[in-house]
Amino acid sequence: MNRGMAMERTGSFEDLIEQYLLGELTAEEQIELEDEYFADPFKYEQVCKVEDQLIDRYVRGALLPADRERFERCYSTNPKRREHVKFAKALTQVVNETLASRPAADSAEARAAGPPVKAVPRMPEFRTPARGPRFGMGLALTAATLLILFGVTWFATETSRLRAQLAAARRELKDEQDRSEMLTGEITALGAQGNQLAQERDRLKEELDAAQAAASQSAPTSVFFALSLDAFRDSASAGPRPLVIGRGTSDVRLRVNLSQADFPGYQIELLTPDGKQVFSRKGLKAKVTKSGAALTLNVPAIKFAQGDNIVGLSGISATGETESLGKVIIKVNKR
Amino acid sequence: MDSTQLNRKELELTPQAFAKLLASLAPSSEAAGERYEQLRRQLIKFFEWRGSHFPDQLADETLNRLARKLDQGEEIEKDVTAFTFGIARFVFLEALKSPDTRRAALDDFTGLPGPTGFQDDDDLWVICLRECLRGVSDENRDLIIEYYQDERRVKIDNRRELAAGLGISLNALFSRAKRTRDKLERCVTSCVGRKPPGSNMKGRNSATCR
Repeated sequence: MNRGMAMERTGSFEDLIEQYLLGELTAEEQIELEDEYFADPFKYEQVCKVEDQLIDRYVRGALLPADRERFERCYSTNPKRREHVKFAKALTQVVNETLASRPAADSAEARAAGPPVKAVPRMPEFRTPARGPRFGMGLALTAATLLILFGVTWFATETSRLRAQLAAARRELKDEQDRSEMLTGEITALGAQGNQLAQERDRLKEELDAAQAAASQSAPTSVFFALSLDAFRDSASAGPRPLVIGRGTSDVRLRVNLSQADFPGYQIELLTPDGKQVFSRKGLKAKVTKSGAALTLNVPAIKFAQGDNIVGLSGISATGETESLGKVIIKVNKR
Repeated sequence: MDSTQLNRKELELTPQAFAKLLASLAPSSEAAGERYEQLRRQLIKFFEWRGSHFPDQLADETLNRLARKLDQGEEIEKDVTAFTFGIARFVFLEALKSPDTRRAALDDFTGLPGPTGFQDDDDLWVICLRECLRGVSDENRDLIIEYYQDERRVKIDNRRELAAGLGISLNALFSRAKRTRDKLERCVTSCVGRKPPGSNMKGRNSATCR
């Protein structure tokens, strides 16, 4: 293929396409270009575009003589391609005739930078004549003005929105602060209340303790202890009698069971092991019971010592004479 | 290569194979149909650019072979378009090797006039073009007139203004103009082909040619 053509070789993709269309590429270059437009619809369109441009330039006589000869030799020998050329020629003729049939003013002003002229009433957008730089500048200014207006409007809207957001945020912050203060106050109040309650609790506890202590002290507790007359008479052989006096016991309710009241009065003594009298009660009267008679006496529990204690019983006659009826040892266990 | 000498059986496409071919092009039948037509036009242009005298038939043969491969269960790993053009290259090489191709080329050149021979039926093409232009919308007719109105530098500026007026890019403008041009060319070619043989050589009387 003759690559030294008069056609301008700029190395551009369009030049490559022209060479492809005129069969001037090597097989490898052909395949390479075909792979490109197979894969890329845009490049395929470019090949179509260059082909149309080449044909249009040929039919309008715009090719250089050498290029025209090359075109006729390489391109238009193919019947299908010849059809393209014939169509392009017809199209050029019809276009020129149509333009020529338009009012003269349209044609003249289309080449000048004048106001738009109606060529075809139905399509105003196609009637815009080629005004050149002035129209383009006007369009650019209009576009710039619209852009500025849009920008200003957007800016104002955005600023207003941001201000509203800021105000809302500030209100929310103030609400938070108020809520925080309120909660702080509540916490303080609750704290004070808690202290009060603690104090009250302590006071009540003290009162309770005191009350319990008082209760334990004021409520008298007695322990019963019964002895028979025989116990006094047989104390030596019987051994000491146990008596438990618990904490808080105030009295020992002593009962001496008699078969009968032999004496009009009796006397009961409480003695230490060494014979010291710690408690005595005279003029006790025996009460008649089902089983005979009984003497009862409350002896303060404090009078009893831990360990052995001696309880003596005496009868008192009508003349006042005392007769010892015996003694009994009581082993006291104080808890 | 005469189209009649091609194996008709090979040109035929079974409905099942055709359905598989469409399915490989696009998921919906409507889109697949459009893609099929687009692919066929691309193949025709490929064969034209390679200098084939029967680009339509070679394009159909290519698509038939693609459909048969798909029907036979062949998996296409790469793009269907690239695979199709791979088949097209083989079809073109086979067509070049066929002795019929050379005979067809000589037959074609026998009656080929010189460049000035184009003028014999030029009026017929113009008449048919005017006729076909009536079938195009006013908008597209004006687009064609404006787009192809001049060859000089003014045309380029005019096209920029045209694109701006329509609110589209220059590439989009070209695509639109190209679609209308191709449609017109198909219409005009069909119109010229309907005329009786030899009538194109009779003269320039448009009435006679009509």
